[in-house]
Amino acid sequence: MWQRFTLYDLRVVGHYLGTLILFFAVLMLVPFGTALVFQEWEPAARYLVSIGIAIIIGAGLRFLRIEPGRLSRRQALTVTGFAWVVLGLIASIPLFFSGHYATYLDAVFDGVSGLTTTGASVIVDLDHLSYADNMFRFAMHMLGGLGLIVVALSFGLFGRGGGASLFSSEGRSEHVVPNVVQTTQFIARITLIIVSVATVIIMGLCLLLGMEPARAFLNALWVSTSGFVTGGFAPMQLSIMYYHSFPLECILMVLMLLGSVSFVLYAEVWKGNVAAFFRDLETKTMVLWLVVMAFVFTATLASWPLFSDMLAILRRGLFTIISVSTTTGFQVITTNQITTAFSNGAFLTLAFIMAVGGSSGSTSGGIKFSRMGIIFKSIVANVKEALAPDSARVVVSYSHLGRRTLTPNIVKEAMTVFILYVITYVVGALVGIAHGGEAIPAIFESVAMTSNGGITTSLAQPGMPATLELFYILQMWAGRLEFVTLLALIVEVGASLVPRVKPRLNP
Amino acid sequence: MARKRPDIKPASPAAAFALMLLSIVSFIIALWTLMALTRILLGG
Repeated sequence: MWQRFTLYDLRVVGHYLGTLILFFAVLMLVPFGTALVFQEWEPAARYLVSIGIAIIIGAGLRFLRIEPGRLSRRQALTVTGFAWVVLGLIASIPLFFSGHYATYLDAVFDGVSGLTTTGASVIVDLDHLSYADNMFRFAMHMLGGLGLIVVALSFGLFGRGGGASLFSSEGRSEHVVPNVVQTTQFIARITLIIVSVATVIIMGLCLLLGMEPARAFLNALWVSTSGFVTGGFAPMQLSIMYYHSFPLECILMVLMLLGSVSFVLYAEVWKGNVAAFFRDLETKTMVLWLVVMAFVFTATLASWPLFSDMLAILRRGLFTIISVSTTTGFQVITTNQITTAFSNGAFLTLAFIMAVGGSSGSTSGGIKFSRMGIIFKSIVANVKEALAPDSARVVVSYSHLGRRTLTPNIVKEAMTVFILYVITYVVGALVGIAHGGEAIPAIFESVAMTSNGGITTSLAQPGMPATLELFYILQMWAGRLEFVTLLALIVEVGASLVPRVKPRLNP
Repeated sequence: MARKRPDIKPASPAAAFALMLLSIVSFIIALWTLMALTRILLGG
């Protein structure tokens, strides 16, 4: 029987959501500060008002006082599930009033896209967006990439209440170090180091390209953040094409691949155990998958007259493959080129690459290499069992933080999430087709939303139909939470709304 | 009998990161090579 929410559950959920909203108000000080530094008074006023609204809502929810104690798994799932949308709604306030969005729903779309690191944007006239608004978009990427709960836990916002429950409810089950708070702090530290180093290098490149120092610094910071957290927002409408810089594209390719590596493996490398990185199932699956898909992608384009130039395939092609594989969504080819200059085969290949995504425990989205690797291993196990004598016991193992044996439970879990992703990809494509989209762009866009890849072609446009936009928001949300949290949330809310049936008393 | 793995001494974090970074750069170059060969072999 499904459990219903009690009033106390709602108070606990409200209390924790209030904490997160207050934290988000603190985050909005970053764009507010940027506005003050660059003397952008209109954005400054907008962020000040948004901070005020967030403080009122957050503090109001915090007043739902609760008994100190452990947060149950059910309550943690609800807090995490709602957090992504509630914060998306708060984020949409300053975005909408910037005047760069056709509808309010477009601003919500960008808010959720920023937080879930999807990177799809329906903003209008991005090139003239203020520094403050751009800073806010990338701050959302940073927060969402690390994980709302991870960041909140690393600041100790939830006290000793329910760290472990909250941590695992955000799709992270592997602890880098035994303690949850230390784990989250390690993730934040690694991100900070890599983003800082990348910012310095890219800033140097931007200065060489002729940018003024402040602009070079901001562009470097934003692109580095977006690249490492595999977000995909770019400060300019032309995405990475704007910079016309091959060295920058090379640095971003490395950065995106670093972002798609599991933080658990970073911890092993940090300890000096670099062999763990090379032996890991995810690393091996990634190498195999990208080699096969790079071959297929090139083969489909090789005989295609519109995009068969060797340099174009090597420079633009590989960057695009890495961008979609890590679910970043940076572009070095225009949206028009993807739909017209690419063959249908290449277009669909990119959708397949994006559907699988990066590593679990990283900032990438998609089905994940670990699940693909486990499913592949399970096929190997089935073949081995078929060939082995009746008396033999087949054991298949794989390397992921040491040697692990493949068990039916591990396979079942991987298959469940795999099937949920595929169903969502298909349903999203059907929704796109129902809204008048062509089949292949509809498939591509559905995959881009669910895997948090974020490259859009023709369907996700400013002022798109509200039903399609709402469905894409749902897909981004579901993909970021890897379904289980969202499904649990839907079931719990549904069960709570069904009226109680009074037991009949026999006369 | 299980194969005995040689004991590998842990490297310093910097060296380990450098090795990881180097392997990623090598992987990108390998993908470029693969794509170039594919284009040469299959290109019309």
